[in-house]
Amino acid sequence: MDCLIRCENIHKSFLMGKEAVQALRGIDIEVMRGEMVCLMGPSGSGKTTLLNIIGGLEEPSRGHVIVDGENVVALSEDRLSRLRLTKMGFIFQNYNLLANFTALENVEVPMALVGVGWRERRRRAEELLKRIGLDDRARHYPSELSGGQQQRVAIARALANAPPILIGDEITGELDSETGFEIMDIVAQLNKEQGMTIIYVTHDPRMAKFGQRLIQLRDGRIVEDSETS
Amino acid sequence: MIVQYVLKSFGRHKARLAIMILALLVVTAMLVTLNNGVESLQRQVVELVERFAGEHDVAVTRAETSPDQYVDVERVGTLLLAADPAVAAVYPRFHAVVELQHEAGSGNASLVARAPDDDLGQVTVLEGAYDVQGDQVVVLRVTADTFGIEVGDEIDLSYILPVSRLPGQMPLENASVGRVTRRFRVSGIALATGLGGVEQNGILAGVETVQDWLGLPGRAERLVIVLDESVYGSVNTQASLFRVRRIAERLYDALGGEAETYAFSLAKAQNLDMSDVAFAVLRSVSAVYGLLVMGVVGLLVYSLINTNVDERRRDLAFLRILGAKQRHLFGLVFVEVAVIGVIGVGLGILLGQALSAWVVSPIANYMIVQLGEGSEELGIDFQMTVTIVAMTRAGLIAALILVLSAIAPARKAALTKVRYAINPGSADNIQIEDLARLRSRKFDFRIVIAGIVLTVMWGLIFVGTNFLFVQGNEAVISVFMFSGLALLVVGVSLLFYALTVPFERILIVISRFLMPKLAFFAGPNLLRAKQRNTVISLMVVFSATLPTFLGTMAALEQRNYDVDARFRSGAPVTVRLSRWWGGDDFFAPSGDNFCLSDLAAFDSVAGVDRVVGLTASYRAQATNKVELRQTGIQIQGITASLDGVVYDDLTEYDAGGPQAFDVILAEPDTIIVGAGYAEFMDLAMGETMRVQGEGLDHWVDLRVVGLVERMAGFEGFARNESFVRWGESVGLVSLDTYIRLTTDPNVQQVCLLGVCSADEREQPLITRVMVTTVDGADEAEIVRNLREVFSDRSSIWVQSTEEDIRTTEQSMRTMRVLMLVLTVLSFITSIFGVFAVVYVAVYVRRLEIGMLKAIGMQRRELVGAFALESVMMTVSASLAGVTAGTVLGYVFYISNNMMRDMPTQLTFDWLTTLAILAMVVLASVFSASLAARGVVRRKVTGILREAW
Repeated sequence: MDCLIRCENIHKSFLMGKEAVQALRGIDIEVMRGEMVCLMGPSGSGKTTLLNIIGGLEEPSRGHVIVDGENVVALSEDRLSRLRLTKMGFIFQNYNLLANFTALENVEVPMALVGVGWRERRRRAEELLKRIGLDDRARHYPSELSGGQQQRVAIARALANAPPILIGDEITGELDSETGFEIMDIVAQLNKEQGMTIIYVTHDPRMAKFGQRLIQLRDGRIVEDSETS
Repeated sequence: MIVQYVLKSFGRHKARLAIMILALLVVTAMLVTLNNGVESLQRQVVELVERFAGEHDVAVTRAETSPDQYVDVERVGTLLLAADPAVAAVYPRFHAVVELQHEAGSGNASLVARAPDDDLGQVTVLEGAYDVQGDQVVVLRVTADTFGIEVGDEIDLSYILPVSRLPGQMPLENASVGRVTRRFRVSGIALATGLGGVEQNGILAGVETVQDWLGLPGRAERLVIVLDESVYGSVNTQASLFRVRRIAERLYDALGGEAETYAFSLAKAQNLDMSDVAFAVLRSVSAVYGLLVMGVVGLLVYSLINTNVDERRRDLAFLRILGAKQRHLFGLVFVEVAVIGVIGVGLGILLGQALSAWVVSPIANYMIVQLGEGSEELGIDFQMTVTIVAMTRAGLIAALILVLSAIAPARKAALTKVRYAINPGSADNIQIEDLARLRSRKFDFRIVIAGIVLTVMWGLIFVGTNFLFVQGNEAVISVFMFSGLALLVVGVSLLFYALTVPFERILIVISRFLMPKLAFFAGPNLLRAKQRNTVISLMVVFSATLPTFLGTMAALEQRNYDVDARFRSGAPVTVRLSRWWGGDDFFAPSGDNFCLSDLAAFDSVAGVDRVVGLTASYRAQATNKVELRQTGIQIQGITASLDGVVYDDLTEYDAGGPQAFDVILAEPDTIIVGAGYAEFMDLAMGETMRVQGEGLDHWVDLRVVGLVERMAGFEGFARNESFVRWGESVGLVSLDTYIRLTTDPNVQQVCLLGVCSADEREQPLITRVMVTTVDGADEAEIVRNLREVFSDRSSIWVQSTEEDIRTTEQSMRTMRVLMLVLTVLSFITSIFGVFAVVYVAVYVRRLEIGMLKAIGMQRRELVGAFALESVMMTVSASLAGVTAGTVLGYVFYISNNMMRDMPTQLTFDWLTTLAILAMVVLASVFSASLAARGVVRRKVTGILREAW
């Protein structure tokens, strides 16, 4: 397996009022293509910050992030957007679906951004919704869907441009256990069947078990990096 | 504590606060300036009235029937001075037209002779000195220029002594008049205003000099009376004018038995009365306009305050948990709006006053100077006055609108459920606190309001209009009329609001071809964000409808003016006799009218082709032999055929054709009537109608030989049943038939065989002459020559249709520019609205922006999507408003033309439409870009963290 994501000596500090807070203190990770990595740790340990830095949503104060051979830190705003659009799929805790768009249109969003034609876009979106079992809800708005259904739409959206990396932040945080497990099953299946590289953050040890590798953080440092049982 | 909370919350929404204050500031400033303009203009008009009518309040002269034409200054002056305590002064004067002879020329001029202590009016000496002692006079500049008079010159003035007439009799035409001539030396050349009676061409003299000249010591032509200023102290002009009238009546009574030999003139009060009515209308128009533009700002405030309340639901819920009552939360929103109102309106008033004083006055004066010639003599210097009335009116309108716009958000705040503090997601479900409300059955306030509106509307139609017209208060009537127009505009806007959806769909389809990526994001948001889009669309629709309506009316008038003018005048050149302003006069033989032989004078003018004389209308009753139906008809006699004289393209015959003119001229007792009239009277071609002529039992049977659908120059032929019923329909007969009809056979038998003799035809009956010109002739030259031919007859008015068209085209163009200014002013408020709503729309969609940015949407794409959404939203609303205004304009104009049976050439007001579209596109792009830029520039995590 080749290395898809490499983080080298990542430091991140924030200003909270007048005080600087060290969120990350020298993180080094390598994520192989096809790996499913879970980031865990208590609140304030730096796991979401690390995920955001890997996803190119935040810049590290120091260090480098190499994604599929490209140094994320050195990229311009436009190229970074392009990288996120084509190589990463994001799943958020609050689903973040567009309220005025139907489930189908929400899945079409990333494809529209890369300029996929209307017919092709629609065909692929319908296919993705069918794959996650929501083809009968394609014309429904987010407000007409349950939390689990919304998160499944968010997964379909993340897969729209067939990115090699899927990034999830507390993706089951708003869901009940049963729905949470259903969602994690889908994510794990993507990893197994399509070889997708997945990095996700969770608080729930039961959800952590879906990953092949568990990285524990505390006070901005990696305290454990192990394979899950 | 409420104020403290409100001030803190302002800190959290600085942009919204700034937008609301700015919108209120600009609109209030506009209204204050407008109100100041109206008030100042009225004051200016009052000053102008004083300048022309004179600064005195009452003038007492001798009645025409008084044997003595002069007033005893000492005796009558004392009586008048003692008649009422409000009489401040009485001055003797001579006002007359005198003949002036100077070596360089001679002519008439107005003479005003004043007493030395008569300080009314202003005299500005330009050359020499103001010295009217002895045989010296001061000449006004225009007179000096006209006659080539210089200071030190000698001039001869001839005073024609007035001759009284006997009661009930006209003055004798050939009576000899007394003329007194004296030589005067010119001591100075001056400008004068406010004297009354002396215009630009005048001479000022001393009363004693004129008394000596005319041999009338101690006497004067008139006494001018000045009243105490407190008489005009009332705010209500009508009350002041009536006070002047009562004082004048007391002056009349003071003259005792000889009062009837005096004539009273209250010229100043009369002019003020007329101007007061005109300004009452203007004030009411500005009030309605103020309500409309402030209404748009009200929508803006409502929208932003509503958003504030939505965002603070959690805070408000906590306040309720802590014990705040619903009225506290209601008051919280009201205090917030009140603080915004005080700041915005307060600053607006200050800005409006500053604009009035330092911007509008200089511009107005510059424009007056551009008017050029004459403005100096008029002494016009426009000064905008800063008035309390202007401030109060703008402040009251703003307060009313702000209160109305705060009610709904305040109610929403007051009804905040405590659940919002615990779990906002479930707060909108039914809670325990809703149960009490659900159990109790209450009036639905909206139903009550709908009932009130319907009742008031029908009450106004059936009771209000009658009451208003009986009262005759022009100000209230005009408020009523313009409010009706405003409501009509609002109603039509709401009706056409539905069009925004199809327009939006069309724009989305177009943008999908032009900008597919941006259209994908903008389209669904445009169609589905109902509440937000409704507010902004309504604002734009309202703002677009009124200017487009007015613009369409102006455009239609401009497009149809040549047809209108040609239809009104009937022929290329028309000569009319007007004894008073406006309208044709009815049958009344008068020495001013043309006789048949006078028409020869027209032929003497080169280029004149055909000349047809038309008599004044003779109102006759017409019926049939059994008198089943009887209605009036206005019969006019013609001296020749109108075929080829009246404009052919605007004339349409139903039967008989143009040959009908030859028939009525050749055969006695024949008539051409309107097709509508014939239909109403059930008359067919060849049938006879009985027409009542002058005198008892004078009935003439007239055979119908032509039916006219429409004829240029004759509005009375219109197929309009109310015209027919009210006896406004026209019938054309020969001059001979007309003479027979209008001559009482019991007094004189004329035209015995149906044909009149040359002597019988030679009567002054013709009041209108239609003239055509030979091909290639210079129409302007012909009109000039005709005016010269009739220059000795002031009652004759020579009108060229082409000249009329040219002059009106110019004024139409000016009108279109004014419409454009109105459009821009209306849209200034709308732009604030667009900016505010788009800004809020972007602000509340931060989460969406953050998410789209996270998945890879670029900054320019985000800004572009918001700008496109905003443009499509406002352009579709503008198109709906333009459609509403255009349709309204067409309906008004066409229905008006239908009344007159006039064809209408349709046109579209591209000027206003393009101006509106340009403004909304610019405003949308600017506001969306500005609002979105601030958010998209930030980091994704920052946006998402804040939005969550």
